[in-house]
Amino acid sequence: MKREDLIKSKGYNITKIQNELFRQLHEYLKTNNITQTQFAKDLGVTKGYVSQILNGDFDFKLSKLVELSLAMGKIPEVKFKNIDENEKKDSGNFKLTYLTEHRLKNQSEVAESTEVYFKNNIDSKLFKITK
Amino acid sequence: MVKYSFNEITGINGLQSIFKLKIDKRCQFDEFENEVIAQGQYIDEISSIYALMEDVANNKLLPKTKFRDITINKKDKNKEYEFKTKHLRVYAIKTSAGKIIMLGGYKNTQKKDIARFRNIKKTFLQNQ
Repeated sequence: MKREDLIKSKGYNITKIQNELFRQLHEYLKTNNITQTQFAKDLGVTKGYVSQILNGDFDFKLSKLVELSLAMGKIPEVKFKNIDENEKKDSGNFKLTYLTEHRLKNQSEVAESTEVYFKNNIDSKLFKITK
Repeated sequence: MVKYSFNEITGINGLQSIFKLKIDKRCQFDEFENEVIAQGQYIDEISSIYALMEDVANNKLLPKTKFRDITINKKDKNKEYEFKTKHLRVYAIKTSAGKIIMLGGYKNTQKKDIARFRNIKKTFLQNQ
């Protein structure tokens, strides 16, 4: 499959996001030594829901994505960019990254943020959700 | 005499290269992909497979439900891998050159395909 077709395909983009969510949750549970059961309880969801994310099958509502990110101590940001712009850079049609932001206001306060970039061929939009 | 060669998969961007096997200039994976696209039913899943390959090529962790080591003999240097989506399966081996995609198939022909995959692997390695 050619790169230009791949980055415009639904399957490729969904899978990349699902895999990134799996890695984020996997790392969070490992780092904090939390069981799936405990995390499900904290988030107020079933174990099946957490298991689905860890199987790389997250396909829930946007509100659940936000709740999940916040439960992992992270802030989600979603950006939309043009595919054309992306093709020039040839770096994939979206990028999902989780960044650590050090806030200078309070040296002891460290906030985690999540950036989700989606690119499309219609126009560029930016949605940012902050604490 | 059967001739084996492999070409790099150029659709993905990765730190590592992933290749696809050609046997006598025929690439089963390309033929499988064309078949899936022509049938139209699992097009999204074939692009999902590429997303999985790209993550593997970038040394990223994946759920075992999507990418798993299926090597029988754990001492085997040429490990066997399976990329999985709901209905599709793609089989690869690890070589000194990198991972090589050998075969694509469907979930409902998995058993037969794995046997075929191991047979191709064996003859391919014997010819290297």
